[in-house]
Amino acid sequence: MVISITQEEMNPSKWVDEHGDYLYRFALLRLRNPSKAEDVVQETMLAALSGRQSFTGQSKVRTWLTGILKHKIMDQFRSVHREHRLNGLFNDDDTIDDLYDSREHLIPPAQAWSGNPEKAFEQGEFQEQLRLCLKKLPKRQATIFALREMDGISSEEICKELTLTSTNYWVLLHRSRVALRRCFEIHWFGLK
Amino acid sequence: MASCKDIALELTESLDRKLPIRYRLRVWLHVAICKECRNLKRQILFIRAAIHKIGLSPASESNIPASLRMSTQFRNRLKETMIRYEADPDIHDH
Repeated sequence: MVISITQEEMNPSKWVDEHGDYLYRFALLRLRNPSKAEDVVQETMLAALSGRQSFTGQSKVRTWLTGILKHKIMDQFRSVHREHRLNGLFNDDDTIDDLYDSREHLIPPAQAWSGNPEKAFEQGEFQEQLRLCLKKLPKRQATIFALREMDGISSEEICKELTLTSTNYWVLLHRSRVALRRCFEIHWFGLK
Repeated sequence: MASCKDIALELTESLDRKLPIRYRLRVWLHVAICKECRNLKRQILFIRAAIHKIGLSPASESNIPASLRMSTQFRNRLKETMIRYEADPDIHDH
């Protein structure tokens, strides 16, 4: 009997061992909370079991599972943001004023990164540092950064999903980028 | 001459989509003479490129710290849950 690769890959008992860590890491970098990451990974696996028939085999199993996971993560973002907004928990970060000094220069100034940054970023610890830097961001900034820079979702769609005005969105995205680069500057490049 | 703060949001926006020409020109003129804003722009793009690179590289899988892997307890629990779910999908419909 010949078992095709597709059938073999579609064996659910292998999903956890072959794709579990990847999916967990994907979720953790975006949701930042280990137990929430576990929840969405489990939901994803169960949804995949239910929807196994609809998998056409045109993409890789990992791509298919990641697609389901992305939807679950977006659902999570949407509901958390709705709840926070309704409860008035987002009341910071409306401007970029505090990022700049009286001469309208960034505080602290954006220094050049020395050494060979390309080389440095190839190391496996980069993902761990990214996780730690994202963890320090306020919730909305972390969500926006993840959707924009990690998943490449368009700005228009992010505004729609999270019910943000365009002005508010660019402020939050700018703040997140400035904070992330500063975090890497300190913790990755060892600058003051 | 526009300040760093004046062009900040336009600089961020210019990394995501094409701005109308007068804004693009304003950013360009400022960045051309401002080392700090050049650093900022380069580093934002650099972090983006680094993120894309790790996403595409399966070779880096072996090099992942434990804090980014699922715990053994969760791995086992997940497998058990999937087996039970396969046997009886209704148990999780709530």
